Amino acid sequence: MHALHIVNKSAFSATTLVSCLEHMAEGAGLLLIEDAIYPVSADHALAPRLKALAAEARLFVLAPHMVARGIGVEDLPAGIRLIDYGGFVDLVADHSPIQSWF
Amino acid sequence: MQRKKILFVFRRAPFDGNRPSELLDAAMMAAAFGQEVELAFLDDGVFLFSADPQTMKGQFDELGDSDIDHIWVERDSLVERRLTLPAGPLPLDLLDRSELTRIIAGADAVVSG
Repeated sequence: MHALHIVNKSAFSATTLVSCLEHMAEGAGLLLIEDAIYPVSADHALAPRLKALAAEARLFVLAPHMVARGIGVEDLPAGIRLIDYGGFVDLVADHSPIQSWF
Repeated sequence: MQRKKILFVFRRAPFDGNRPSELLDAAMMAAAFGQEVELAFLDDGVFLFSADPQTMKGQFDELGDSDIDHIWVERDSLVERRLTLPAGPLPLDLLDRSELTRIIAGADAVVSG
């Protein structure tokens, strides 16, 4: 099973996402929740790396948190996988270990 | 009880609230209950090793007597902060970021602080 990394802080205010990306093994998934979703749609230095992950279908975004922040699907890179709370549960069940970068 | 490999990840500076010491408590507890426990220090977590031992006294002292299987310290994080590991009583294992990536992927559970 592949690892799942969960990040909740905006890359504009914390270095958590940088560190997480540098510690992800091949095949591991990345789930962005809360303020970690902001850089996906923004012109952030990490955008190309997130885009590459999305293209490999390894980037997940918690849709309710995205909607709450006024970010639309059209702002997201191709291949990104939107999940709801039920999907969050499935994702955790399908990966191991789960690392929360809080 | 099935023995699991639990990796505790220290990413915060030692004086950044009480999370580092709470995380250590949790790790010691898991080790006391017979789990295979490893600690990993990366990012600002490596500042623990430059902190004044007298000031830190009591917080991380008990590590040496515990049943922790490995204490990993990420070399890249040390280099970025211009730190070197002091010679001390703790058996520390230096490793590169890519190696730590493998350690994380191989753990049964990861607990971060």
